[in-house]
Amino acid sequence: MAKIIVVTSGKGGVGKTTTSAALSTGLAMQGYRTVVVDFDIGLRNLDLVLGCERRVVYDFINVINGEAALHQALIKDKHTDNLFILPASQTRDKDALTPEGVAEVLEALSREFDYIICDSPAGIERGALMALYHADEAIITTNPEVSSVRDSDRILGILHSKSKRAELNLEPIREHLLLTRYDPARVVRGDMLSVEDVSDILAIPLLGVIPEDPAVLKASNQGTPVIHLADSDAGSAYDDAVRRLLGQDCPMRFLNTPRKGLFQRLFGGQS
Amino acid sequence: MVTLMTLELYRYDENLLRQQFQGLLANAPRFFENTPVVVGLEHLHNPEDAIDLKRLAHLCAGFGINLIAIRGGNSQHRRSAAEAGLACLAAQPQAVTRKLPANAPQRNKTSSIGKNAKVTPIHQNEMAFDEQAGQQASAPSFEEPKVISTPVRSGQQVYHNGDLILTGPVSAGAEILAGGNIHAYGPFRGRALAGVNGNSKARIFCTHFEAELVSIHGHYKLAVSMDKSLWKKAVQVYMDQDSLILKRL
Ligand SMILES: Nc1ncnc2c1ncn2[C@@H]1O[C@H](COP(=O)(O)OP(=O)(O)OP(=O)(O)O)[C@@H](O)[C@H]1O
Ligand SMILES: [Mg+2]
Repeated sequence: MAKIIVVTSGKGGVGKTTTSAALSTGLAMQGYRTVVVDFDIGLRNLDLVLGCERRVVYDFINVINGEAALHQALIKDKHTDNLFILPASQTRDKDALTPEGVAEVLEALSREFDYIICDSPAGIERGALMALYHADEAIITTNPEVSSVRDSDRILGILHSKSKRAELNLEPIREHLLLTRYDPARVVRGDMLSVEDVSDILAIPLLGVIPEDPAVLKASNQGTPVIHLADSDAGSAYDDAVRRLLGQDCPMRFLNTPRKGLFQRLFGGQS
Repeated sequence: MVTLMTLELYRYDENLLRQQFQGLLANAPRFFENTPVVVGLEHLHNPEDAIDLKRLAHLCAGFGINLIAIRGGNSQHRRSAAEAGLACLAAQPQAVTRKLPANAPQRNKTSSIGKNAKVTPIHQNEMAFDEQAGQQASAPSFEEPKVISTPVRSGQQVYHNGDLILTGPVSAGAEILAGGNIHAYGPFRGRALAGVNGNSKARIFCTHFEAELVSIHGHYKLAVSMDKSLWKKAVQVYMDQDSLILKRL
């Protein structure tokens, strides 16, 4: 039985797809059979970030509608062994995502994989609800700003009330906070919330802090998940997060501003 | 002593409502300023009409009208209200429309905005006390205290007709409504409404006070008008005569 992990946020553009691609790649690199499922019907970004957009023939909706078999729609990742992608449809509308269809597909995937990562669309509507419904664990992707934190809080409430685990009164979904696009310099200036602020408001365990890093955009333009850029800050931070997800203990990094150079120390700026 | 306003809805027609709000605000631009508004659904001409309360709240917000709750309504209305983050108050079948003297200040005046809706300020003494005298027998009695130990998140709402004890955090955007007292042991950042069924003796106790709004029996205070020295401290809220008191514990 696979573990189902939803990557969700409420707010759009906070880094869910980037995170889904990085974590699924990281889990596969650790030897786990992993599939990442794109629930963002109509937009389809995940295949771009993973660089497999040209190989999409069938998609999630085709499988739900019985127009293709699951193994026909699954794309094997070129860069990483053990990693498969179930792409979203770019043409259908979101209503094609039926609860029964989603349940069936996840059940079938569950028999073949160790991890199923669900890349949720933004919002709290159907697509997002479908993506989180079956989850065993949730990665609450949050940017250090008030509106993102508020939306994450909202999603946590939904996990508690509208997920399968909530409805069947099972053990609650395990929640993880992943703070992304963290910019320590802006935190120091007071333009952004700090890790402590966000942890205090959301009150769930911290899985990791991913710094704001131009390598993310670069990686996504190349169609390689940023975790493959091992010497980038964001890539290393995602690598740490995967280890923590697997139960390893590793200290948080990238929480502080880089040390000031001699020049800055001599000639000021704020301290 | 205006506390809450009701917007008595007779029918739900967004275009007409918009026109009427425009008309109303043209005459009294500050009518709704900073005033929480309850939508009364007891007098809907067609009580089964579906209402999308999120849209209604949005429409109202466009006119600076801050909806906090619905009163009455059917299960669809209550569901929709919960989704829109609004509280659900019990119906007041003979909800009062007090006739104010003609020279009463504009802000307190019951203002008819046409056939679709009517706006009424609710004064405490009318809203519950006067009516309760006649309703004593049917008034629901308090239930056993209820303990909530999971966090209450933004958009969630907890209602209990009795004391509510919260041991986890209550987030901004969450709403706690109790017929009795509210006791909060985690950080309290949401809205606390105690004594909602007409009990002015109800109190609110918070060990870590950062509430967006507190209200006892309809007398409310918003965070902006609270004393900042109370922030993050242990605080209790109660009614003394007609005033709402917030005090360090
Ligand atoms: N750590 C980071 N540093 C810099 N840029 C980032 C980082 N994480 C994400 N981004 C950028 O932010 C944008 C949005 O990221 P992404 O598509 O992953 O968000 P999303 O939450 O999936 O968005 P949507 O809600 O639209 O699905 C992208 O341009 C991405 O490159
Ligand atoms: Mg996305």
